[in-house]
Amino acid sequence: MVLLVTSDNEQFTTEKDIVERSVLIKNMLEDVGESDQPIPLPNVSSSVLKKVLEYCEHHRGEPLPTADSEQSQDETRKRTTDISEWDQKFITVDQEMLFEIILAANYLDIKSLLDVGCKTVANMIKGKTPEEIRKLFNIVNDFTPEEEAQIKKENEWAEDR
Amino acid sequence: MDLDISFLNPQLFSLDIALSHNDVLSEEEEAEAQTLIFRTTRSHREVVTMLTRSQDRSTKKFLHVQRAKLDAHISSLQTVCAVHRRLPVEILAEIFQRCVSPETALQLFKPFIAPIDHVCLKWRRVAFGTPSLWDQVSIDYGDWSDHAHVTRLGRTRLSHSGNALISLSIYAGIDNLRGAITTTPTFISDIVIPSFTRLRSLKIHSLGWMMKNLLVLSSTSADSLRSIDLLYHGNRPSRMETAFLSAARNLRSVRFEAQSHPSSLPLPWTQLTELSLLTCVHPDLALSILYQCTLLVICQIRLGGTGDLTHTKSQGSIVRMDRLLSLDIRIPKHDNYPSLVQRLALPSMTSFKLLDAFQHLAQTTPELMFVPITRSGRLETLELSVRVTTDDLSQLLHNIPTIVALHITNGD
Repeated sequence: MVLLVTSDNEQFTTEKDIVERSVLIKNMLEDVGESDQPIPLPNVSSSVLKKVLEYCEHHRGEPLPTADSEQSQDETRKRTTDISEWDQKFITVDQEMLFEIILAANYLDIKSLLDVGCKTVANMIKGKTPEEIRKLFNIVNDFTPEEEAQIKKENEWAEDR
Repeated sequence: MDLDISFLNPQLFSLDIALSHNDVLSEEEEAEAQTLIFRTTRSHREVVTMLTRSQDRSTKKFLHVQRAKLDAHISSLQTVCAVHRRLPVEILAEIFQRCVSPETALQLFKPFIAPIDHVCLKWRRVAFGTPSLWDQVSIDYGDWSDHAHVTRLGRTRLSHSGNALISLSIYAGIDNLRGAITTTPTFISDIVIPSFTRLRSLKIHSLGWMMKNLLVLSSTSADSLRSIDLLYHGNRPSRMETAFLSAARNLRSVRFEAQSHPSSLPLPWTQLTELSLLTCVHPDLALSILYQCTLLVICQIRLGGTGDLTHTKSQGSIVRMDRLLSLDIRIPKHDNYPSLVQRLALPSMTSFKLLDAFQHLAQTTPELMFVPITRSGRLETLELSVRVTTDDLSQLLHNIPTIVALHITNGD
């Protein structure tokens, strides 16, 4: 069993083969060897870690990507936005939690979870105009009037088709 | 009335600057934002409560104004505290790479499933700093009136691709004569030639003689080129095929309408995984091409042609190709299929496609038509676009239990 401590000081005890889907934790465990020492995760809160562990538990036993397979599958994986049914249900969370999961997956180095999160965001912005995207994510339109004019020109050209 | 919303004074709102960019907040800004969110939300609750209790019209009017101010403030705070700010550039780039779908990547001006480079400065910077988002340029000149401008924009798009390997496509065929004449040479000289050494895939469908610029590439090596698809209309420079193919030594996928005798082309036969030659294919020649390919790991072969094959005499023995995995045959206007397949044995073939658009096989017996299928013991995928009766099909399927995917069109 492995003991994890979150940024809000909550402790999670979990099985090694579940948590080893995180390359970061796997490497940590290999470095420290057999030990009862808790692993601190200062960048992950308890609510997010709970979700991450749920994901890892569901995908327990599935082969982890190797360096070779990762490279060959990388392009294909990124250029499709398909998400499995379970993953889709799992990632149906509010925007704050979605981005937190992505950040945690990146920090913990869980490639498949990062992929699901990024695909979900890509799907959210699919087919939207720049203004709709800004509204969706509360993004500031910080273009100068000149830049705005240039972008408008690019858009007009696209719309001329 | 005990309602303190003095913190709404814009002069006291030090987060104004955060409303002019999308970068991550400093620790101080983050702390201030959290405090303000707490206070504003609390005040908002109070105003709502007062509104429900108040009977006085002027008070209610005042409270409505305050509530509107608080709503606007909450909206500003939501923008300031938006979680997207915390995403590092590399994660944004990861997201953007998933915004390029295989289909949209083929379009020049709608390259993304969303206009990510038009959202804000940060997103634009990240998009322009991610070469893999810009590594495909595909132009169908038929869709555009200002051809020179389209080429310029294509070049601009490529300028963001850094050193990434790129894929280029142009469609300017006989259906768009003006486009083909005015744009193909420009596309080749301005876009293809400068990028030739980092070309991964090249597709040009145009008038053949407009592609003569490709000849200059014969002196340049294109080691990164893995895939070419050249479809000519009309005459093409005779030396072009040989010259161009000599430059590309690492090709894997080849599709073109060969003018030369295919076996004389300098194709890297030992490494091809896909071959599609639209040419006049004599059965003996087809067999010789297939035979060369069986020395390799082959995924797909398409054979077709429009030449006159009435003189064909094919009386050889059966040629067994042990490593051919997939065969895709398009029956050309002149039917050479029966004489070809009679001599084919493909024991490793798992996928077979047969397209008879001109219905030349109408007089061919099912036994002959299905020779490649019945001689394969491992066929899993079968795609037929031929005239075939239900009885013949049932018989065929009954004898091939390994089939797991079946697609039939144009059958009876």
